Amino acid sequence: MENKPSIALTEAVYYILLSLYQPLHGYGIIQNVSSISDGRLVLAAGTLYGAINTLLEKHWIEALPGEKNSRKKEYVITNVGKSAIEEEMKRLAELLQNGEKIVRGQLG
Amino acid sequence: MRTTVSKLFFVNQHEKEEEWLNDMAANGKAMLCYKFPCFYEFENCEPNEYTYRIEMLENGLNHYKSREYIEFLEEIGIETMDSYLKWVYFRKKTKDGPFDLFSDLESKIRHYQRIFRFLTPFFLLEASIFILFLSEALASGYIIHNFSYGIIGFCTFFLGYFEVSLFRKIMKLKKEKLIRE
Repeated sequence: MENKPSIALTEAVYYILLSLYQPLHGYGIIQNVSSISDGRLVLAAGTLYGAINTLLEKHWIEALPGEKNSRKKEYVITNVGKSAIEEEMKRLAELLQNGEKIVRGQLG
Repeated sequence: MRTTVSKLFFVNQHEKEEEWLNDMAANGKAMLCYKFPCFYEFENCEPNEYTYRIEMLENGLNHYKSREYIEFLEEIGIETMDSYLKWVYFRKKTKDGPFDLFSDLESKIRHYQRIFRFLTPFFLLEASIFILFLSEALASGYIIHNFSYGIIGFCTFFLGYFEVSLFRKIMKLKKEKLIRE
């Protein structure tokens, strides 16, 4: 995989990827994200749909074979997706660290 | 018991239309279908039983992408009530939680751009006919075809007004996007 400069993920995408460390269908993703964010982030349907399609195109997630024509298709994160999450966590850690340094005068 | 209510919403007012449908639902009337240009059929429901949202799809309803989208929405409990051209009326039970189609600025911008682009060919057509009439009138020294001239001018400005209104909404969201997602 090319070494791309890290681009911030939206929090919706970040949480969707995190949710898919286990296989989940659309409704499950919405419920999981809402629960891990303490109700703060309730994924919008259209946004979720767009995100899933983009993540599939980028091969960061994959659709599980499951029953053909199943109404509830499940998705799971891929290894590429996992490395994207790890990159993102590094970026977030850097942001938080600098914030703490300046705002609270503490060192990482 | 079905009732029909008429209320006119313009193409740049779909959010106001949503608000109205949700107000009706809050008062125990759930929208079932829509007949152009301004007729809505309602049936009784529990107060606030449903939340309504409206979207203009990228493609016609029979396009495979639209069908995939609508199926996906069904999986998460969103019902398709009715449609007009590429406009679709969705609803979801309020007790299932908040219902929004777009939460991020990017998709809101894209939706408005879709509506803007849909109108543009009509606007350009009207505007060019208007300019044609205008130049003919100026060339010949008097205004010919008074009546049709007026109608075309009216349509041009009407459409122009929608385009400007949508454009401003898009710019506002784009500015917001410079600061946050």
